Formats: sequence, C-alpha cells, structure tokens
Amino acid sequence: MSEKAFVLTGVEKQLGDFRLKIDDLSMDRGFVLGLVGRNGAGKTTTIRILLNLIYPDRGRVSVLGLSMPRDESTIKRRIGYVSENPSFYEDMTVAWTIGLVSRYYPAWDQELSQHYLRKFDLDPRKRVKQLSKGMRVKLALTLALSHRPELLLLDEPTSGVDPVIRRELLEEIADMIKDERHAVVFSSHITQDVEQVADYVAIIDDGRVREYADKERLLDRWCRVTGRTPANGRDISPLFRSLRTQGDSFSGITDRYSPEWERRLEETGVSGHRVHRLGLDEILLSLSGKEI
Amino acid sequence: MLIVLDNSNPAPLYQQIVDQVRAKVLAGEIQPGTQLPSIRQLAADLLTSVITTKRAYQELEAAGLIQTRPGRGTYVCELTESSRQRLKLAEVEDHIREAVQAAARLGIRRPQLVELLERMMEAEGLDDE
Amino acid sequence: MGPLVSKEFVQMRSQLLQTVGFLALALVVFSRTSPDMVLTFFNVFPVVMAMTLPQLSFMHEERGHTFCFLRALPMRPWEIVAAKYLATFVVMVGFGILLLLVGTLVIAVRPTVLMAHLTVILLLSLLLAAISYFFHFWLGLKAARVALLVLVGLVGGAFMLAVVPDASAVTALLSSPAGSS
Repeated sequence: MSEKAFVLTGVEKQLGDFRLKIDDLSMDRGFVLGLVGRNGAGKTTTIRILLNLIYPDRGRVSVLGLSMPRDESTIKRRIGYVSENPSFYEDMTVAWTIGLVSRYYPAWDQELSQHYLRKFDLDPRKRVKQLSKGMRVKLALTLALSHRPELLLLDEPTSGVDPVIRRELLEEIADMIKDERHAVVFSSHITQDVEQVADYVAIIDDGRVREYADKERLLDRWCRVTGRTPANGRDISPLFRSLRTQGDSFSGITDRYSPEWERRLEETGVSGHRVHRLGLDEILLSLSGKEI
Repeated sequence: MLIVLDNSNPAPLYQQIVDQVRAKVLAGEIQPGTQLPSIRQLAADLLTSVITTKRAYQELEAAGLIQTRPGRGTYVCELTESSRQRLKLAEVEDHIREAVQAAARLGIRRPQLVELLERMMEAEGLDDE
Repeated sequence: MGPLVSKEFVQMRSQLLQTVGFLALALVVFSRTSPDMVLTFFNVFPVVMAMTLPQLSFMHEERGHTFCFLRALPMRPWEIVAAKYLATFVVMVGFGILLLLVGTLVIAVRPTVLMAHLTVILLLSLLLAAISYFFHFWLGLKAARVALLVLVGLVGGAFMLAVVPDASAVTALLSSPAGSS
C-alpha cells in the first residue's frame, strides 16, 4: 500500500486566461489537507485534476499509489467526492439517486447509506428538487461515504450551509481520519474550518501553490510583531515581509518567525516587542499582497 | 478527558490542549497512570487535526507530564513532589513573565510592581509557608 | 444502466406527453382535411423526433449540470452514450407502433404497406438520431444544433420527396404556386 494519498508532479493546465502550475504537491495517508485561497485561485481545478474531471496539459497525477488516467476507474471507486453546489437529477428521488450511484461502487454498503440517511435526516422519498442546499451537500456526503472511500475530496463543502451542517461536515472529516489509511483533501475559503481541522495547509494563489506546510509550523512561522523601533535607527525591514512604522513604534509581518529570528530582531535593538500568531485568513491576505 | 477548545482564544489550539491537560494533572483531576486517548482519537473528539494533538502531546511529553509507549499508548506520568512543584511554578512563571513584560513596556518601576504583587497576594490569601 | 435509461424517460416525460398530444391533434386534423398529408406526416414525424430527442436529452443534462455528476462516478463514458441511445430507440419504436396502430385502425391504411413504410422511416430516423447524438457528444449542444439543421436540410428534403407514396400530390402542391403565377 502506498504511503502517499496523492502526488502531483509538474502539473500544468491552461483554462482560458487562467493557468494552474503545480510543481510538486503530495501528502501522506492519514492526514487532512486544507486548500486555501481566493475564489478562482485554482482550488477547484486542483481537486478536479485529482479526479480526472480535468485533464492536465502536462505532468503526472498519482492518487492512492495508482496513476491517473490509466487507473481512473479503480481510483474513482476508492474516492468519495463532494463538489461545490452538488448537482443531481432534480426530478428523481433521493432513493433513486442512491440506487444509481450504488451500482458503480463494488464496496457500497447499503446499511451504511441508510445509517447516513437517518443521521443526516434525509427522506429517501423526497425529490432532489425539494432539497435545500444543505440537504444536497448531505446527500452528496452520503453518496461519498457509503462506499467506505480511502480518500475524501471535498470542494468548498462548508460554504453556503448553516453552522449545524458545517459542524456535521467537520465531524465527518474528523471521523474519516481516525483510520490512518484514510486521507481527506478539502478546499475552503472559510479559513477557520481549515485552521481547525486540517493537518496540512496549501495556500493557492493565482494558480500556484504559495505555501505548503504542516499547519502548526505554518502558523508558527507567520507572525505579527509589534514593538518600539531601535533607538539607534537601525533598519529592521529586511527581517519582515511588510513593515509599518509610526513614530517610534512598528508593526510588521514576518513569515520566518523562529527563536533564531527573534534573536536577530533583538540584536537590532528593538524593545518591548510582542509576537502574535497570524490567522490563516491574514496569511492569505498577506500573500495576496494586501496590507494587514 | 474533558477539554474545550476555543477558536476565539488567541492562544494556538495545541497550546490550549497543553494548558488544560497540565492544569488537570497538576490539580489531580487526572490521576497518574491514566491512559490518555491516542492523538487520532483526541483529534476526532476535539474536531481538530492530528498535527495539533501530536504537537500538544509532544510538548506535554517534553514537560514530563505524559509518556508515550509505542504500541501501548499514552499515559500520565507519575510525578514526584518536586517535579509537581516545578511544573506548577512553571505555569505561574508564564503568567508572571507576561506581567513583568507588560510593566516593562509601560515603564512601571520595580518597587511599584513589587508593591502591586504584595497587595495581590494579600488579597488572594497566599500562604507564607 | 437501468437507472440511467429510466431517468431519460422521467426527464422527458412532459415533452413526450406534449408530443403525443400534438401527434393526436395533427392526425385528427389531417385525417379530416387532407388524408394524403397523413402519410407525409408519418414520414416527417419520426425524422423530427430523431432530431429533437437528443437535443432535449442534452438540454436537460446541461441545465442540471448532471454530466459533471456522472463523470465523477466510476462509470465508463460509453455507458452514458449507450443509455441515451437506448432511451431514444425505445421512444422512437414506441411512437412507431403508435403510428402503425393509428394508421391501420383510424385512417384505414393497409397494415402491410404501412408497416414496411414505417420500418424504413424508423430505421433511417434512428440513423439520424445516432448521428445527432454523435454531433452532441462531439460538438456540444449549440454547435450540434447548427450541424443537424444543415444535415437535415440537405438530406431530409430530398429524402421526403423520394419516399412520400403519393409523390404526385406533393409535387403538385410544390409546383402550384409556380403554375398559378
């Protein structure tokens, strides 16, 4: 069994004006990857490439140790996928939809699907057009989980749903990962969800991966530092990504915080400095070039 | 083990776990020898990531509060009275450091700070022995 | 495969009912006014259906974004195509039988003649439906429409004139404006 949940190497895709370019992105099984980025940054494209819904112009895609597109069907049978705004046949019932999907997964567990229907309070007799957005997401999740997938791909699962459903979704992600052979990749612009439940974070901006790291290490490195500028007038800006000064106080953002970095800062003669971890949303803003 | 994570708390999630476990152990709420949930189980229970719970356990282990035996699980360490005292002091030390740093920033002088400390200890009824 | 085919019927049920209604109305009108036109109608109707069914089928999928839904499943692409062909085949044959019944019972055309006639039309229409689906899968909805119109305009016109039983009536119809002026 391959250790890696997925590996993307040298992947490129041109879609109109937009160009996705991922040199190297991979993750081990047993973890949750959160894809963060602005709308249109490339999160959905990346997930679609993992599923072969989009064929890359260049590069190698490997999922669960198998190669896309050669082993596409085999891989798809082991993946659960929830798309953004899941679509179904509107006139058909929930039960019919489950009946359709279940045929394509040998590992489908009918009792498990019933369990999820009860858990999510989904009426199998209801027609899809009668379901709210939140219920559709739950239906999509039922379809994704009932064949016990090894990899779960979720594209913006928590956007546009109420806090109760958001919570249920995070619970399912957490539940999925109890088994260390499983893996989850989910994209979200709700950075709080990613901060909470992701093990690894990839920040995608304008088609490229700007940051990819273990979440805690990432949050350790990115800090806002405030304090009083050195009395001797030493320039401290080389230590920062962005720096604001007013009078004798400064506020700066660094993405390289470490005890070593702090020592170098102290050497410059700053005083009374305080260090705050940045949230993922602020990191994203900073990477997008916004002042924070 | 009842741990509550607060997203609005500026302290990192792993730090919150460390602080709460440490507090419970030092207060005797969790007895030495108790088995703690695996990092995966804890992550699932708290709805957080494995990386976070792993980091928390690493810090707790470095502090000598817990010990992980591969294949057997994670257990709360038997604490000697001296190590217990050391750990309790360490926790208070963090808070005091913050106060001292704040004082330094605000330019409060040493005698003022000591007087403030004395007054507070009196108010809280801190023993002399 | 079953559900894939059954959903085609469910999706199109309102349009199919409308078509049956239109068929009934047209036959009633033609049988009263000009019985010759009935047979012309029998020729034209399957051809029109052959073009519209794939259009309808594709329109439903595109509006509902359901191609994405299907593509994400571990389903081979040919299954999606095959299901559509099969559904269209069933509907066309259904209408063929309907026309046969109407023709023999209501309008009293000789069954054997009509059956031979209809079989030829049906086969040609199914071929047209196959081409129509091919265009749709290959070119997408909008371009397929254009391609089909061009194809049918060229082929259908000639085809109709060749196969209509009372050719003289139709050619008379077509030549009368020229004749009268």
